[in-house]
Amino acid sequence: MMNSLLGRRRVVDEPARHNALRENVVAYLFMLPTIIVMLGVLLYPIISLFATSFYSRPTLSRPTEFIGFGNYLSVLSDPAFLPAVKNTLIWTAGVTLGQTMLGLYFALILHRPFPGRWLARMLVIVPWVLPGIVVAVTWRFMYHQDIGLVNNLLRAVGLGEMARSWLGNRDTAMIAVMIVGIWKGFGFYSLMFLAGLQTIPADLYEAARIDGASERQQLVRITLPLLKPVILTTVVLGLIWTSNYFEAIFVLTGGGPARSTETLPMFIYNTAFSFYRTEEAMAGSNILLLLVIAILGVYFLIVKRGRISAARGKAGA
Amino acid sequence: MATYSLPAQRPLQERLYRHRSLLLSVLAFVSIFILILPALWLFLTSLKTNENIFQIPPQWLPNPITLDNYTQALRAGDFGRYLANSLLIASVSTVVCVFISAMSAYALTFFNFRGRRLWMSLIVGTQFFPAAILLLPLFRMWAQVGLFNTYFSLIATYVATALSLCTWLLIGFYRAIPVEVLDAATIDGCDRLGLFLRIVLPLSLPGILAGGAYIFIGVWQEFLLAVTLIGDPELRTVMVGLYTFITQNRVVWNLLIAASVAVSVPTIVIFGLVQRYIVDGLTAGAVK
Repeated sequence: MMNSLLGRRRVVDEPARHNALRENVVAYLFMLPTIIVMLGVLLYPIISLFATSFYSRPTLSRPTEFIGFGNYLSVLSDPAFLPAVKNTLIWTAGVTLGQTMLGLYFALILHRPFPGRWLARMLVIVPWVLPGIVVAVTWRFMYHQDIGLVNNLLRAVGLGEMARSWLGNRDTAMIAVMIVGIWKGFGFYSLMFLAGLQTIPADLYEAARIDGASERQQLVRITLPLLKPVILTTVVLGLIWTSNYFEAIFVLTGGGPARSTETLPMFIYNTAFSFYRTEEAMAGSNILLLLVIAILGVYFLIVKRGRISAARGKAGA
Repeated sequence: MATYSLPAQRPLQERLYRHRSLLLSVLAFVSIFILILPALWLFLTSLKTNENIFQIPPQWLPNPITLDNYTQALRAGDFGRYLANSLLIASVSTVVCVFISAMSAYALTFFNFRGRRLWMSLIVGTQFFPAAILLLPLFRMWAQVGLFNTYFSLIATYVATALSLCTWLLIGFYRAIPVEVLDAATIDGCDRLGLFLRIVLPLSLPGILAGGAYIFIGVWQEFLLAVTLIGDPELRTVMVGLYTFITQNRVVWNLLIAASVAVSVPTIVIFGLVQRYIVDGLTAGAVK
């Protein structure tokens, strides 16, 4: 894709070899501020943290010294580490699944024309557009034991005995924050899936209708298979985003009660800023970074394979 | 015969179709209503008097409607200051970010230079980098260079984290510029800098404004970096300021809710305005 673009976009056809150096210099002048910022504010701190994570905490009597994987071993043996991993898996799987289902549901509805669709399309992304803190405030209020809407709706329909402090209870806190996570992001999934649905050629459906395919058959045989690549890439991106998203957890529970909602990023944050065990937090942060890079690697593999198979499909047709 | 049966059939089909789309409409709006009920509830609550907020069973619709919570929240403590801080930080971050992204997007779209693919993949890859893994590295770095607790550190951080997305969006807009326009300008003696300033920037102005607006609301609503990199109450952003209505022992619900609604308004309005420019760029990664 890149190559064809460049070929089409070559603006000036000067004697190329002579001007190659000049072209490079001018291009890098335009790139310079971006390169400085990316190296200085993204790459340098990450590499520097990586390097420091192999050194011990300096004390008054003992300067910092190289301890290899010492910090990593202590964070891995932290009794809260494995539960945090487990919580991250539950949180990420649950939220991503919920967002995908809701996103698909709304994308399929909003793809069809109906009166007021423009309004519905705008409203469905409201939770996604709302600032993260406002989302957290909204749900803290929803879950309020006395004046929260959740408990009051339960009381109104005669299920008052189910009313409880949803966030203050070990058994319900995780589900409660997961609902918030799903709520915050499903609108984005709908947007992605809607964009994907629009790329499916309408004549496929027409042909299917002529052949007598039912709505359900069209959904299962045409829509879902053709939407699969979009679903796949969205979900992989969603995995990265969701596993690291802890703003809602931060404001709603701070990882509690009894660390029952503490996902990895929340655990790292608490280790660094509540327990001041900076060295261990650094090691944890690097473990998380490696995880993110691994998922990103998978993402790029999928995208690349998708392109190749798309190209093959075109060649076959 | 066939021509006669058509007019008779069409109204029926049309009625069925209209019936179906109406059904779809009802289904869509009922589901959306249920899902955005929490946001609606927050908004309704913000218009209630403080006593009515705490009524059990709850007052479903605010009566009387009052704006007291808003006026009080905006006057409360340092809220005005937080607003000013956020406006400053978001505006400066946006302008700087858009400016340098416009430059790099120009190089990446119209130049064939060594390392172009590498930078391109860095731009695409870092777009998805979550802020959570940058918290600790950035916190440490800014503390080390003595810039912790400054506007500068937060602005530089926002520029860096928004840079790749902004560049990516702008590349999309640059690609829409017809090659003929650029060729014509080159023949007229325009050099690469002139091309950038006189052709590419003006022609992609809608894109630049849309990208800028998107970055602005992104920075405006950011919380984690702001709460981690700024300790000084004087420098707090408005989202961190909201958090000050929540203390260990007490939550000032009426002010917190009104302030929450108030700070969401710019986000929703700006996003509504630029949505159609932005969504294509955002979804391009998954769709194309």
